[in-house]
Amino acid sequence: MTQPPLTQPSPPPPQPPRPKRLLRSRTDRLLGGVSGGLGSYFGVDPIIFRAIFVVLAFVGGVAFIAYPILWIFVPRDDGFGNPEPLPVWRLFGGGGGTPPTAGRVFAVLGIVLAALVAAAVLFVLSGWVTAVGGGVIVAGVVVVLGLLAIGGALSGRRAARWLVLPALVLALPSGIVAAAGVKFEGGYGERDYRPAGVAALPADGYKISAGSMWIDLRDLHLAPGTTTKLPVHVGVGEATVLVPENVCLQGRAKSGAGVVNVLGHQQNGFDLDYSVGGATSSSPRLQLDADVGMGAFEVVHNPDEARFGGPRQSFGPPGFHRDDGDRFPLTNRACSVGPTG
Amino acid sequence: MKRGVDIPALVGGLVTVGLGLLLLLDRVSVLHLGFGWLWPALLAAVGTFLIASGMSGSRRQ
Repeated sequence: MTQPPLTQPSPPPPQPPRPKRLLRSRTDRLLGGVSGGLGSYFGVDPIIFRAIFVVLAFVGGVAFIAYPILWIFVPRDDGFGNPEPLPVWRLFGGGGGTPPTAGRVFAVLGIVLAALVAAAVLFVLSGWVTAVGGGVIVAGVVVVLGLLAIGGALSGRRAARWLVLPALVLALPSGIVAAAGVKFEGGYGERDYRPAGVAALPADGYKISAGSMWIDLRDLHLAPGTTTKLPVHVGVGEATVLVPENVCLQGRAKSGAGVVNVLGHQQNGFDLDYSVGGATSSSPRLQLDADVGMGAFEVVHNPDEARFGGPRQSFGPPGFHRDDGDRFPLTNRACSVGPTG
Repeated sequence: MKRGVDIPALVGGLVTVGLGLLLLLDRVSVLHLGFGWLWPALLAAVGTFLIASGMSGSRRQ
């Protein structure tokens, strides 16, 4: 009779630790679980990555590229720390890790492309409608979408949250246009004006919706002691005004976003408001009222001082850079030194 | 089965209505919406939605 061996079977060799792998979270997620996965991978709170994505969305829109790429190419956690088949396969309908058919790929890509084009069209349309005076309509649609989302939420429809997306696509450009004060009035393209006298100045000023405008007032020959009003409106674009050196410039120039440069005094950024006043001479005065939505506005004495566009475009004296600002201040001497002042 | 209120959708809807009302008030000249208002308003809107979604997600777990 043979005895069974008394030796115990040796325990299986210890498994090497599984390498840490970046996976999208299936539980801690708002959209695709990317931030949840990143948080788990780096051992930090996912809210940090969510905040980073939000900031990146507003800084050049990097998040709008980075997040979808991670969503598509980072596999999701199957619940046990293992990767599921790449989401791009599931996205295209190839379940179980099997590649989808070419037709299916083209169909899905077509739908995604159509959605992106629709969003882009909606974005531009919203901004344009707001700029031509239909902002109330856009705001009304945003409110209605919000109310629909609330209604859906109260009835427990999780999909209702997706209504926020088109609402934001509408609200963002409308808000930018409203904040910049962009109004489309006066046509599009390039304009070149050189009025020969005060009578040739348009009563309601010079206006352009989008484009560039060059207003050369050096032939005006304004009389001492007179004040001539000069309204200028630019929706999106740039305008250059040339004023004679014997004219005292007064008034203000506003811009929602961009650059304002009045005789060498430059402001850059948002919500710009430059005003000049306090004339003491009796030189002829030009009362400027410039309103630019987004873009550049400048007042110079000579074409070679201009820094922006226009038919006689120049970018300033040699060595000049657009950001130099006050390095090249021009003068508004006519306001303090005049023919009888 | 009765479905509960979807909090992120509710907050998203409220935030959207708030943004729409801000735009509306600007367009009827009740207030002037400058960039000084716009960016904080948008960031607050997105942040509120994220917080609501996060709180809702942690409650599910």
